Amino acid sequence: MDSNKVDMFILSNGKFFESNQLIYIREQLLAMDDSKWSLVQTIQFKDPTTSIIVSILAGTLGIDRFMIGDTGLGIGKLLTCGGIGIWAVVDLFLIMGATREKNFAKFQQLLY
Amino acid sequence: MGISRKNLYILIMLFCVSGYSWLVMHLDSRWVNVVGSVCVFKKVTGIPCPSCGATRSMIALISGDLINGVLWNPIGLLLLGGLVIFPFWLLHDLTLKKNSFHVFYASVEKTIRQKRIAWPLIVLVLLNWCWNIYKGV
Repeated sequence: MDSNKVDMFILSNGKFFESNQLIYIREQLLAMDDSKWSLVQTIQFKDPTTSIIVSILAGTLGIDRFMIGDTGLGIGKLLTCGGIGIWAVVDLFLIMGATREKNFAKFQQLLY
Repeated sequence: MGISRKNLYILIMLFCVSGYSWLVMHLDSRWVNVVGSVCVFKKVTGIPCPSCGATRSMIALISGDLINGVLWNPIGLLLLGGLVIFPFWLLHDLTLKKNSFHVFYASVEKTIRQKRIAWPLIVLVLLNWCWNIYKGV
C-alpha cells in the first residue's frame, strides 16, 4: 500500500493502539493490497479515553468491560459490585491498555 | 479472541479465594461493623447498586434461610452457586489438564451477546435494581 496512505492511517488512528503495535501495524499496512484500503478505513476503533471515562463513572457496574466487548468480565464486575470495589480501581489502570489490545485484535482480524 | 485460559483460571481462583474470605469475614460478627458497606456506587450516589445486598443474601442462604436469601438480592444465589461450583470445576480442569471451563465461558459469552438473549437479561438486571432501590437495601 502507498506509504502516504499508511502514514495518514497511523496519524489519524495512532491513539487507538499501543506505541509498540504501531510499528507492526505500519509494516502490515505497507504489505497489504491496495484494494483493502477502503475496508481499513471503515473499521471503527474504540477510544481508550472514552473507556477510562466510562470506567471512572460506571466502573463498579462493569459497563466499561461490556463496552470493549469483554461481556463475561462485565457480568463478573456487575454481580460482585466491581469486585468489592477493588477490581473497579484496578481496572482504572488496565482499561486503556485493554481497549488498545481489543483494537489491535480487531485490526488483526482484517488481515486474515 | 476473548480472555486466555490461564488468565481466566487465575481470575476465577481470585474470585473464589476473595469470595470465601469475604464470606468468612462476614460470618464473624466482630468484622461486620469494621468493614461496613464497601459499595462505591452507594456511597457516591446514595442509592444501592444492582448487586447491593448480595453478601447479606449469601449469609442468609448459608444459614439455610432460602426465602430471605432471595429477598435480599437474587444475585446472591448466583454468586453462591458460582462459589460452590467453580472450585470443583477448576480443580477438575487443572488436574486432568482440560479446558472445559474455558470452553463453557466462551460459549456463554457468545450466547449472551446475542440481542434476543442480552435484552431480557438487561431488563432483568434493571428490574432487580429497581427492586433494590425500592427495598432500600
